[in-house]
Amino acid sequence: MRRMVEPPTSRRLCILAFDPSLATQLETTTINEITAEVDWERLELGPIGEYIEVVDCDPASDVVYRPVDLNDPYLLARDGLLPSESNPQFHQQMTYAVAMTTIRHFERALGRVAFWADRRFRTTDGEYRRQFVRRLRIYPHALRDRNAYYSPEKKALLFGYFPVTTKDIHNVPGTLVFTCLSHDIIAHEVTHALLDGVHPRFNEPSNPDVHAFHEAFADIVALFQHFSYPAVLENQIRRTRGDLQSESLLAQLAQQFGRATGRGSALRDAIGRRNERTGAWEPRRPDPHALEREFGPHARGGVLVAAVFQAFLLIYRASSADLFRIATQGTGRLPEGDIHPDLAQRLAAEATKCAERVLQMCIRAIDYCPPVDITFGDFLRGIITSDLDYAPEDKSGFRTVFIESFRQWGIYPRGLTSMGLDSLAWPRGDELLQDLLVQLPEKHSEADLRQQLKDRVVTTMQNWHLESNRYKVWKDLEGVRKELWNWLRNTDSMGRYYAQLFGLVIKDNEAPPTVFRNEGGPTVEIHSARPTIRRTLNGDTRTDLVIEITQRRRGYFDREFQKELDGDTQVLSMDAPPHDFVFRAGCTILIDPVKAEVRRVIRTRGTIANNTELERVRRFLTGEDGGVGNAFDAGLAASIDGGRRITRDEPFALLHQLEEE
Amino acid sequence: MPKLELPESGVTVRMYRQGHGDCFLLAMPRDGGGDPVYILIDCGFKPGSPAYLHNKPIEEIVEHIGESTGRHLDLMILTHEHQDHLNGIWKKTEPYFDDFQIDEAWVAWTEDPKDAMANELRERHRDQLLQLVAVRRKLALAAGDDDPAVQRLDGLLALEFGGEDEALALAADTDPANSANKQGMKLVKDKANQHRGVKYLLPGEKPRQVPQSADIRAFVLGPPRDPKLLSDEDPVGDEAFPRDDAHGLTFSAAALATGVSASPFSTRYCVALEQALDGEEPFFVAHYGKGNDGEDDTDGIEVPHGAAWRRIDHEWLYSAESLALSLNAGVNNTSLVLAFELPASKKVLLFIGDAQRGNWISWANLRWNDGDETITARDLLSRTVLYKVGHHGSHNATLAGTVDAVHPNLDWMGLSEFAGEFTAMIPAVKDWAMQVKPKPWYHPLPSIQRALLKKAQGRVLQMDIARLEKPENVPAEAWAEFTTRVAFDDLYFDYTIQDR
Repeated sequence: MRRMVEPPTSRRLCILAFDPSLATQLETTTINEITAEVDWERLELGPIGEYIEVVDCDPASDVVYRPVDLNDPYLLARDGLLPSESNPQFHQQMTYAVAMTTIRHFERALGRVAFWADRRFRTTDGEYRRQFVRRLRIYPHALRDRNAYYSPEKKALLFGYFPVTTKDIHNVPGTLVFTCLSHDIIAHEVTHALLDGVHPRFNEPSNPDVHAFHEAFADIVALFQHFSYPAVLENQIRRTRGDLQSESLLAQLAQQFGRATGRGSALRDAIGRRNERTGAWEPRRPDPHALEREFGPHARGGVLVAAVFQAFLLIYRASSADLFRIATQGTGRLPEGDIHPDLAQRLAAEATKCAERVLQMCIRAIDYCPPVDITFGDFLRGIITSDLDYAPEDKSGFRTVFIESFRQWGIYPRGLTSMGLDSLAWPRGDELLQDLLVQLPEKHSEADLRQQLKDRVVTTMQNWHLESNRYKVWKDLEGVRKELWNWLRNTDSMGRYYAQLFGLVIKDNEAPPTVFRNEGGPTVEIHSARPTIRRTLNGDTRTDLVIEITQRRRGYFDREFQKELDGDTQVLSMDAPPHDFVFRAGCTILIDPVKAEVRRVIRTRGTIANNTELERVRRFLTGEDGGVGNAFDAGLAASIDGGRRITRDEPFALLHQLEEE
Repeated sequence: MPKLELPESGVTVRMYRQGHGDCFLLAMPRDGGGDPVYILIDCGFKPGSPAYLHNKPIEEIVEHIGESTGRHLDLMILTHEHQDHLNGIWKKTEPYFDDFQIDEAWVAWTEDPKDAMANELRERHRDQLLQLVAVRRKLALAAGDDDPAVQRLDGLLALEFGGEDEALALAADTDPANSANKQGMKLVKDKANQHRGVKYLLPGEKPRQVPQSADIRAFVLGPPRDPKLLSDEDPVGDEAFPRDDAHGLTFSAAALATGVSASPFSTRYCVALEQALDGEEPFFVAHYGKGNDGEDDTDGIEVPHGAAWRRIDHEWLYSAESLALSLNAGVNNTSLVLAFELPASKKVLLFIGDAQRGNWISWANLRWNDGDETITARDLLSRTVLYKVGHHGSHNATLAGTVDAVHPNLDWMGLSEFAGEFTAMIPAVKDWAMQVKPKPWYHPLPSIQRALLKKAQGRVLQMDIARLEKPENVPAEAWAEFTTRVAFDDLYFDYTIQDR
C-alpha cells in the first residue's frame, strides 16, 4: 500500500526538564514537565531505534520491566507517557528522549552521523578484532547505588537508584531517587559515550586533566542542553530578570541527586556555590590558581565548566546589551518588578542563540584535539582552531571571549609563547610541510607530495558518502583505515615525509627498544578515520577527513630499569618483562579531500621516542603530581591496558568514590 | 640480646621492620629509676610483605620484642582493629604474646563495652562486614574467585578480619565477632585486666600520665566522638550503608536476599528475570539473552542483539567494593591518636595510627586546660618532633595544607624551637605495596613522601630503606647530629630523642 502521508519530522515525548524533585516545589512545578521533540525514526519496543536500545533489566531485584511501546496509538496521540516516578516505562521513554536530544546536538555540530565506540577485543589466540556497535544500550535500573555511569566495556549506560537516608527540608527518608529520571545525568552519561565513540583512547589518564576533561565536557553538554527548552529558559530569564549570572537552574546540574546525597544543593553549579555556613548562594569568581589545587576529576573539571560558562555569559551579555538599552532607555537599570514578557522572550531567544553557538564551538573542538593526553589548554586550542576553520571571517569576537575567560581561570596550553589567536591555532599542514622541506635533504617537490596524498589517501575515500546505513559507513571507513595503515607502514621516502610531518616514529633505528613494534618496525595504530561535512558560518560546505594515529611504548615505574632496557640495542622481544603502563603519543590529522591537502596537524606534545614526556606520564601515574582517590590506590588506573574495569573504577562514574571535596 | 635502652635524657623509639604495618616499641625513663618503662604500640603486618625486607617470620620479631623488654610491657597501645596493626599478637595455637606480662592497655573509646555509641558502631561494623561477606560470596559465585573485583574485596576484607594468611582469614570463621583482629584485641585486654589496667581513652580528656613515667603526659586527640567524622564519606552527610530500609530497596537488602527480592515498581510492570528469559518476554530473549546466546567473535560484524558481554547480571554487586573502602576508612578513623609530651623540652611525639581525614579535622576543636594555659592541637602539632605517619603514608592520612589553614595538617607540625629535629617514620614496604594485585597500593603516596622529606629535610625513616641520604642543602654537622641518634638493624630502627 502506498503511503499518502509523509512521516512527521519529530516525535513528541514528555520528559522532565530537570528531575522529579522540581515537580514538588511550587516555584518550578510548571516548567518541569516539558515535551521534547525527538527526530522521527522507526521505533521498536524498548524503545529501540537506530542509536539507542533501552533494555530495562533490574538484576538486583531479579526482574525485568516490560518495554514501552511508543508506537501505541494512545501514546502517539498524547506525547507518550505522562511523567511518573512509579512507572518504569516512563523512565524508559525519558532516557530515550533525552539521549536522542543529546545525540542530535552532537551530529549537528560535528556534521556527521554519530558512532559509538567499537567493540575491540583479543581472541584467545591473540588476534585483535573489532565489531560495530550500532546502538548504545541503556539500563535504566541497573544498580542500587548512588551512581550512574557509562561503561566503555559494555557500551551501555547503567543507572542506579537508591533510597534517601537523610532527613532535611529537601529530603524524605526512604523515598527513592532514580538517577535515570535526571535529565542532566542522562545527558552527561550519553556525552561520555559519544566522546568515547569519537576518541577511543581519549580517556587513558596521563595527566590530571584527562578525566577532568571528560567530566567537564559531559557537564557542558548537559548544561547547555537546558537552553534548548524554551519554556524552561523563559521562566528562568523572567526569574533572574535576564541576569543569567545570578543563581539559576540553567547553570546547575542534578538538583535531586545533589540534595539526596547531603549537599543541600545541586550536584554541580557552574557559576556559584552555596555557602556552607549561611546557606546563601554565592557567585564563584574566576580563580587563576584553581587548577593548582584541584586534582579530583569533578572538582578540576568544574574549573573548565566555569570557564566555558563564563565565556557564554560574556557573549550573552554582549549580544543582549542592545535589548537592555532599549528596555531601560539607555540607563541600563531595569525598573523593579517583573520584566516585560516580550523582553523575556527576546532575551530567551538571544540566550538560546548564544548557548547554541557556545555548545557547537565546544563540540566541534573535539575533532581538533590530540588523540591522547588531552589537557584543558589543548581544548582551548581546539575551540579556537575549529572556529577559525568554521568562521574564518567572524568579527564577533567570540574567540577572544573564550581566550579571555580561559585565561582568567588559569587555563592555557603548555609551552606556548603567546595567547594570541594565531599561536593558539593548531599548525596548518602546508606550514609544516614547508618547514619540513627546508630541513630535509631528500628532495621532493611539494607537488609530488600532494600528488601522493591524493593517490594514496584521497582516492580510497571516493566511495564513502553519508548514507543512512551506519554499518555500511563503518565498513567503508574500516577500508580507509586499512589503506592508511598500509601507506604509513610500507613507506617509501614520501610516506616517511608524511610520517615525520605527523610526528610519528616509523624508522626502526629512531624508536627506543621499548616502543611496540612488529616485523616491519614500530607499530602504528589508526584509531579512527571519520568524514565530516560541515556548513561554515557563511554557508559553504566543507568536507574533512579526521584521522587519529597513535603509537605505544612500554612504560616502567622504575626509571632506571626503563633506561636499562632503552639503552640496549636489542629490540625487546615478546617475552619482555611485563610493563607497568603504556605510554602513547601520536596525532590527529584533518585532511581536505577536495584540495588533497593536510588542513591541520595536531600532535601530542612529544613523539613516542620522547623520554621527557614518558617521565611526565610516569610521575603522574605513580602519584607524584598530587594525590586523588582513596587510601590505597590513588584512584589511578596504573595498569592501563589490562584488567577488567570495576564499578569503582568505571572511569565515567557520576561520583568518584571517596573523592575529596 | 640486651634490653632496649634509654639515652642520657629523653626517650628511645624503635620502629620494627616486621613488614607493611605498625609495630613501635618505646622506652621511657622509669619513675625512681631502674629498667625503662616499655610501651608497645601495635604489632601487625601485611602477609607477604616481609619477603621484601629480610623475610624473617613474625615470631622472630616478637621474640626480639620479648628479649628487649624482658617480656614485660608496662603499657600496650592498640590503635585500631586492622590486620596490619594486630596480627602479630594472636594466633589460634600458641598466641605470639602469650608469655608476655602486660600491665596496662590503652585503646580508643570505640572499644569500650560500656559506651553506647561505641557499641552501636561496633554492631554496625559487624553487620556491615557480614553483608560484605555475603556480597563477596554472591559475587564470587557469579564472576568467579579470580575476578579482580573479588580479589580487591578480599584484600579489604582481610584487613577487617585480620589473621596471617589472607585466604584463610576469609575461609575460616566468618563471624566478625571471632575474627583474629578481635582475638588479638582480647588477648591484650585480658592480660591488662589482670592488673585492672584496661583504659578507654577519650579525645580531649585530661592529659594522661604514662604509667611508671608520670612526668610524660599523653594527650588524646582522636578518634572523634562524631559518627559523621568517623565515617568520613563522600557523598557528604550520608551513609554508605543505609539502616532504615522499610521497603527492602537498598543495595544490602538485595545483596542479602535469599528468596524473592523487592522491586521498586508495581508487579504489573515486572516479570521475573528467569521467566522472562525462558520465553515469557520475547523482547528480553532477543535483546538480553542468556547463556552463550549472541556470542560471535567474527571480525568486522555488527554486534549481535543478545551479546553475552553486554549483560549486567552482577555489575550491581561491584558496588560492594566502594562500601568496603568506606568501611575501611571508617575503621581507620577510629584510630587512637596520641601525643606524648616530654617533660623538660615539651617536645611532642605524635602517633596517629591510621587516622584519616575525619579524624584529623576533629583535632582542631580540642582544648586542654593546663594551669593558666590552654593547650590546643595546633600547639601540640607545632611542638611535634616525631611524627608516625598515618596509614603507611597513603592519600588522605596525612593532610596537606598551610600553617594558616583551619584544619590540622602537616604544615602545623614541627614549628617550635626544635623544628630542626622534626622527623617522620613511615611504616611501609613500598615494593610490596606496588605489587599488590590487581591494583597497586600507593604506600607511601609519592607526593606525601616528598612533602615529608622536604618538611623533615631528609629525616624520614621508612621501614624499607637501607640507608639514609643526606639532602644536599643540609649542613653536614646537622646531619651528623641526626644520624648519631639513629641506629640501624635488619629488624628495626632505633631513634633517640633528647629531652633537655
